[in-house]
Amino acid sequence: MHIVRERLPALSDVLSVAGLVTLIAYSWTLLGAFNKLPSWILIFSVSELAGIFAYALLVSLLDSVLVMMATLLIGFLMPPQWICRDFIAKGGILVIIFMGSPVLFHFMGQNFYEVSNAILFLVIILVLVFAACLFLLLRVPLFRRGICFLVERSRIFLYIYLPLSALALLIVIIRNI
Amino acid sequence: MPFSRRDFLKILAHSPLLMASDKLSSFTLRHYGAGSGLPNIIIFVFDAFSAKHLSLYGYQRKTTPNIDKFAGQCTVFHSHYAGGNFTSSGTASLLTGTYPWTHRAIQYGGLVARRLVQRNIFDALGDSRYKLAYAQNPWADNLLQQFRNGIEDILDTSGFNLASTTISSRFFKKDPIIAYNALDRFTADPEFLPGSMIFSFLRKLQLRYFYSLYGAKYADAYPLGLPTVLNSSLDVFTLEDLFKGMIASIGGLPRDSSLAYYHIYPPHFPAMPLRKFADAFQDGWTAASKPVHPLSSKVSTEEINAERLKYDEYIASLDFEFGSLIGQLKETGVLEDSYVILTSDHGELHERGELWHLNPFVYEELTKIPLVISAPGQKTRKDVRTLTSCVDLLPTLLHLSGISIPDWTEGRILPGFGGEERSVEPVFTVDAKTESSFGVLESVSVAMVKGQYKLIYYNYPRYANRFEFYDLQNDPEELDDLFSLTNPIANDMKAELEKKLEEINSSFRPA
Repeated sequence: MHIVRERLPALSDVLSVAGLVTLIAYSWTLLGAFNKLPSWILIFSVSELAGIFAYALLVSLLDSVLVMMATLLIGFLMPPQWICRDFIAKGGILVIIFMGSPVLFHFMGQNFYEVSNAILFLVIILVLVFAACLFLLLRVPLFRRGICFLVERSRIFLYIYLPLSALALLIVIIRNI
Repeated sequence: MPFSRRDFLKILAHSPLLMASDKLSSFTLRHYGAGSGLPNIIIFVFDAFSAKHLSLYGYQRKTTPNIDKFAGQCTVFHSHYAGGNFTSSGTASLLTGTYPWTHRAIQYGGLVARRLVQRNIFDALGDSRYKLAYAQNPWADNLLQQFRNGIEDILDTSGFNLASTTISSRFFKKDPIIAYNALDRFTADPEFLPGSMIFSFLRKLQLRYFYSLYGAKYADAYPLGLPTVLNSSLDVFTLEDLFKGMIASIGGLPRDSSLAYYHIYPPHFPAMPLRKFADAFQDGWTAASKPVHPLSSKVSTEEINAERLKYDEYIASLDFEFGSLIGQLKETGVLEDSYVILTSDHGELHERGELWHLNPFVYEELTKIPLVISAPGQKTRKDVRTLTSCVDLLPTLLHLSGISIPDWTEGRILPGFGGEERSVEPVFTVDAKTESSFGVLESVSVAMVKGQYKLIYYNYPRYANRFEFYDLQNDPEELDDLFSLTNPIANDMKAELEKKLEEINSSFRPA
């Protein structure tokens, strides 16, 4: 138990990083949803639109949980001083990379027809970008301050989006009874 | 009389029985039929199947030898028109017996107006038949889901596909339409910018996996790649599996009094012909050159000709499989005992600088669809050359089932099946993809065909209030636009169309 606790970051740091995850995941989804809204309102009623938003928010929640679990897992597997002790900055960077790589894949991944090549491409990008960010983190104090500032202030979004997701879950359950 | 606690308890006690009776009635219908002794009706809808590309209707290339043969014992309709120019509007017209300005499934993935959902072929047939439906195109499946109260069994939209990444139909059976639009078409959309980063990424990886797995396996049979369902699912399938699936499903129908509706995706683009037809039409033939339309995407003639060739080869592949299916239906006696109907939801365009059907056009290649009906025991071919529309199918099927025709349908019984030919009444094809289902229709294209004449009306912000007029009898390729305000027939049709649109729109304008 002690080893587990030692290899996991502080709860407050986890919540801050989770805030960043929700900020990115939900903002992306909501941006996409509002982008689609003009075409949706031609077809759907208000209650149906609420249903669509509810499903979309639940997917964002799922995205957030997956990314957060992956980040915590990497932190857990690495020596504690590598990530866990500096979770706000390094966890924050990991999250940004995790959420950015699918977007990169969306625009560049068309060139990779084999699944293995696509995954290899992403892993290489992920490792390279993470290494570059670590370098910046160690050498450029402003970069570290910027990342920490972003992560710590993102926490508020956790308290906004989680209740929204609970409401979304309720709507989805009602629609599927 | 007050509603007492005892009454409430009585209802509560009977509720499981009421719920079970619904399931029981569905089970009974499925296994023993409706018992009304009516011949089965089997409808095949091939998506984006243009009558102008069928050798059955005189096309230059021999694309449909099996359908031609099948037609030898059918009634063949030569001037049959779709209600819309793409899946949602065309299919909704076919299933509701109304034009798009009435049913309102006018946008990509559009839905029938909720207040009109009970007005469809399945509900209209009532308990006279057991009803089974399948749509491989998710947009058509959405319409079936809207009508699900009237359908005993809806087969899974990806049920006959090799592999499926569709989420909604598997996990959200009680809310498939909204789940499809939120999940398959938005958050995990593999075609456009998705609403979810991780979820869509995982789905893309899954798709890549399927493509590499099945692409290699079927590379010999499908040199251009496996047939694929677009509209956000990107499921892959083979024509053989698809038809085998339908044959198996038909084999499970009750012996009489059932309606089976199969809406399959091919020959919708992307055209992926079988190897044996991949070079079937290297004849150097090209279609008549037509002027590039101002509203077109200005696709080059070379690309249009290449796509036309692939489309024809895909139709030939489809026809090959359809021949096997008809052979099976003959062997099992189903063809002899049933009404077998072959039709489409809309055509496909390869002219005037435009491809396919994601456009505002209502030219013949896009609006003229096949309609071939084999009646029980029919041995000879009948040809009906008078004007008919897809909205006529609903009243015809009701008539064949001995059910009176509701006043809400805009169709009429087909000639040869109890109806008379249209003398003055026109048929319409309507496109209003950018308009709201809840408001007036302003940005529209409408084709109005009356007798031998066709009037086309476009009204778009940069192409407002434009008309074209063709004499289809003397100019079936629509090459010579005869519209002029001094042409009395064109003017009369223009006035009639304007009156019709005003009548439609007036109910959506505030009093």
